[in-house]
Amino acid sequence: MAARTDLWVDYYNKGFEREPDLMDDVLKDAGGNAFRAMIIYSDKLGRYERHVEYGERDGQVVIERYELIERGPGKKVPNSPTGLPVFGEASIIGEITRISTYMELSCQIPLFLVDYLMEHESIEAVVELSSGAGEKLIGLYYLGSPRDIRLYGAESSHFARQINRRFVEADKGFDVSIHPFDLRQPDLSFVEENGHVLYFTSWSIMFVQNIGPDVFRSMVASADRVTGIHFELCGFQIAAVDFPVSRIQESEVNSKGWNINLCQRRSESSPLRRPDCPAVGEVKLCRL
Amino acid sequence: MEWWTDFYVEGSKHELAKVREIVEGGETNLYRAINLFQLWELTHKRQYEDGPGTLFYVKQEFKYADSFFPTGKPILTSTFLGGKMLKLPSYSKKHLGRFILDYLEHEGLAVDTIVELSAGWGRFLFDLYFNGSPSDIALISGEVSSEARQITEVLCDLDPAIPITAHDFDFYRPNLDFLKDTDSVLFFTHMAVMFIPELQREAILKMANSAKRVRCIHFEPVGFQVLAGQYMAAKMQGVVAGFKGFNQNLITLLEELHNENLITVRGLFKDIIVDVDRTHAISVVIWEGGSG
Repeated sequence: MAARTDLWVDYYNKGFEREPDLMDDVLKDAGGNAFRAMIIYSDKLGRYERHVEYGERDGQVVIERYELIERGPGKKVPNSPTGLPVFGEASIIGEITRISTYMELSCQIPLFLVDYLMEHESIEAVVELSSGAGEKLIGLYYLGSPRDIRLYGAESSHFARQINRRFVEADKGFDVSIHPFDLRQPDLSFVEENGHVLYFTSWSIMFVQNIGPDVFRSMVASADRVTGIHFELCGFQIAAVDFPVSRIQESEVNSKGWNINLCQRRSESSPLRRPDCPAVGEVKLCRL
Repeated sequence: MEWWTDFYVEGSKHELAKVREIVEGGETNLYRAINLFQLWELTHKRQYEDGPGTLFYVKQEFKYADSFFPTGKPILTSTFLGGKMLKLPSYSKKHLGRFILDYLEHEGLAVDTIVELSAGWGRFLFDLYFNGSPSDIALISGEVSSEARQITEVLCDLDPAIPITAHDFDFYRPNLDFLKDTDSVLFFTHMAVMFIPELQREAILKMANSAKRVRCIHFEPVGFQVLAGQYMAAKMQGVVAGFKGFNQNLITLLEELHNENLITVRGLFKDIIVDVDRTHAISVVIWEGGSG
């Protein structure tokens, strides 16, 4: 079990290891502007495919080869003005639906959070666990998160933290406090605020096959009032709303060794047994 | 009929007041100011109390939605794309900036100026800049409302590096004199021609002859004007366009000018970009002109 989680951690670490090389170009193209840099960085990454080959050594799954392969407009796609497909596919509340390539969904999480923060004025700090290069936190700041709310990035990859710092250094008005953090050995002692703290994760717990209780205990113990919001691929774990597409999700998750217990193993009285809305955990956000 | 122009010009006065409130309230960062304004736009809508002169903004109620995010916004809005029902999640954003940059790259086009006509406060010009439009490309807003142009100026004052300028432009009295020493220009319109019931030849011809090389992309909900593919959603778009007095002749006008060799239509892509409004699926029409 742990070997599959380690593999995914290794996979992302290897990816971030190569990405600081992009940053000089990104910051140059952006004229040193952090918001432009963040968008250009996301676009550049969108133009790369992570090509990876797995092997087995001493009974463990290992990454044999890892490459970033550039793609993008250039290949002719029939009936498309920009070279990219006009439509894509996603599933939303159990239905497979078509989506429009130029309707950007990747901004959804920061926009959602800014809107949430505007309605919950008691929140003093926002902490993203497994924050990667910090794109969501950067989005959060530039989309209008109140300036008096402190932003924390918590990330295990040294290279991802380094990329995040370069974004922060590009704008003197922008600050994110960045710290080492591993979901498997959680240490949240860096969080200084102890009134009301909002933690969030996005597509991060999904890579830990069985998340232990320590990470939740650490969050709850870190402040007087704690709100957690998980944007994770876990709809298939919610038995009360069982769509056919959830079975596809479950099968993919099982084959890749992704998380299977975020919403499971709750008592009969747990609110997670009956979600407020069937869409919670089921809305699949895509960056095309 | 300039009713729609008046409607938007009147709305711009309220928008200018909101932008000023954000900036005078202490926001010094351009991107935060724009996004705070857009968050306000997301939650408010224009409404007339009693005809022209009485427009005001009210908070959106989203009363037709049946499920909501914890933020009070509907999880999904039903709309149409390519004639088929589509469910659009809240907080998604239209990305024309990315589209235009991808198009220029895909076509290998080098331009020195990009002009949006009827640009409002310049939402998509800012979007273009944020998405990495090179700093040496001039980004120009042509807009009839002086308040909307003032919003552009108030925002640009927050970041002196931004290459956006706003100029007076009215589709009913088209004048592109602000384009001087321009070699290669890309025009675009987004949901702008739709509010001109009958677009005049003069407007297109002025654009076509404004520089040596001219390319224009219209992002407009005019799929109903394209006879091929008259599915139910297109018919619904046509009915709504009819009773609201929206544009009826963009496609036939471009076809006419193409047949007279005054422009070259390079592509028509029906209903390929989605909008929250179910009758506003956007078609893309691209044409080429130029005096060179």
